[in-house]
Amino acid sequence: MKLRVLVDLEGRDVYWQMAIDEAMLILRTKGRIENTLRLYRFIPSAVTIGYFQKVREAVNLGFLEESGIPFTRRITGGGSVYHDANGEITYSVVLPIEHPLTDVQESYRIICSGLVYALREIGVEAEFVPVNDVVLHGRKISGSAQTRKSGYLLQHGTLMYATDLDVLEKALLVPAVKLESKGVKSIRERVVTLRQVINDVDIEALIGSLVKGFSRALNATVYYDRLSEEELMLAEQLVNKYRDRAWIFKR
Amino acid sequence: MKTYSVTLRFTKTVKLDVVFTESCAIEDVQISGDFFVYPEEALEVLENMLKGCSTTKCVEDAFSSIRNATILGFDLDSLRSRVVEALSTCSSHLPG
Repeated sequence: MKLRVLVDLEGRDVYWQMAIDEAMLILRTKGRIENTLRLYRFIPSAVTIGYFQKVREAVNLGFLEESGIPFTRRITGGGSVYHDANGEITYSVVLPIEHPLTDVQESYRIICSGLVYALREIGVEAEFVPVNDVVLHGRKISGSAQTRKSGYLLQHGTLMYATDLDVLEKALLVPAVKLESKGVKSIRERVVTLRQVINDVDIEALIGSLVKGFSRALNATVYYDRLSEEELMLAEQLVNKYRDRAWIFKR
Repeated sequence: MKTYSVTLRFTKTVKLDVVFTESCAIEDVQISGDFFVYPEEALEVLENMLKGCSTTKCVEDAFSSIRNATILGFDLDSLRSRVVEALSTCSSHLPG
């Protein structure tokens, strides 16, 4: 397949980033854009929670409000995520639900293998762990979440290269039963950043590796592009949903 | 108000929160957590169908509405059993 690649690193706030991802999915279902991979950053740092999570059980609201960290609910399931402006690259991809992506779990494996290939390219031996994690030596470096609509899927996910784990630990709440099942006492023991395993993380090289990794995972030929006016206009229509307290606090 | 809450750990974590009427019908129910359901709306349909249930049959009928959904991260039958358990113990075991 052909894969349109958007290296979109200038950074936007969490509401816009979630609106753009949703706009990409909608426009892909309408045939208005091609299969697309977008790499982006959250500026300022932010938190997203999964579609089915209860805000008060997923994040430390007091800390987020004191620290001025914006947060919103995703249209995808999964858990809460701290997106560090200076320590995380986020990817999103919109694709048709065709072989071999028809089975949901298999589609997570295939798309996440793009991250695994990218990390291996820079000398880090990562592996995919179902349902939706990429781990290094048992510690999570990336989580992904997917939604499906009208024959197409949107999957987005993280790659922590230098996330501030002090902030992450304060921002997110994790049920004790989850930590126990992972054999750890704190969220900090459960995660790892690239900077903890390689001294010098070259962001440009990392971006190049991610494009190469996803290209390989999806057996795709890539071409580079920019967000279209139509994507930005649709995102502008969607962005207020992500700012709306009724959406954020719906659970 | 009678309530029932339990956190269940599967591959993902599921929290079940049920509010019962005085006569032990389900007044409100929320199933929350870090799991995945496709399509997402199926979970909301299930929650709505559970509202008003006061019998095991009603709970089982509600869960049959989600049989065609794809669920990653929890076991639907285990969750159904917990809802049935909550219902059956409502009158005698839950705090009033």
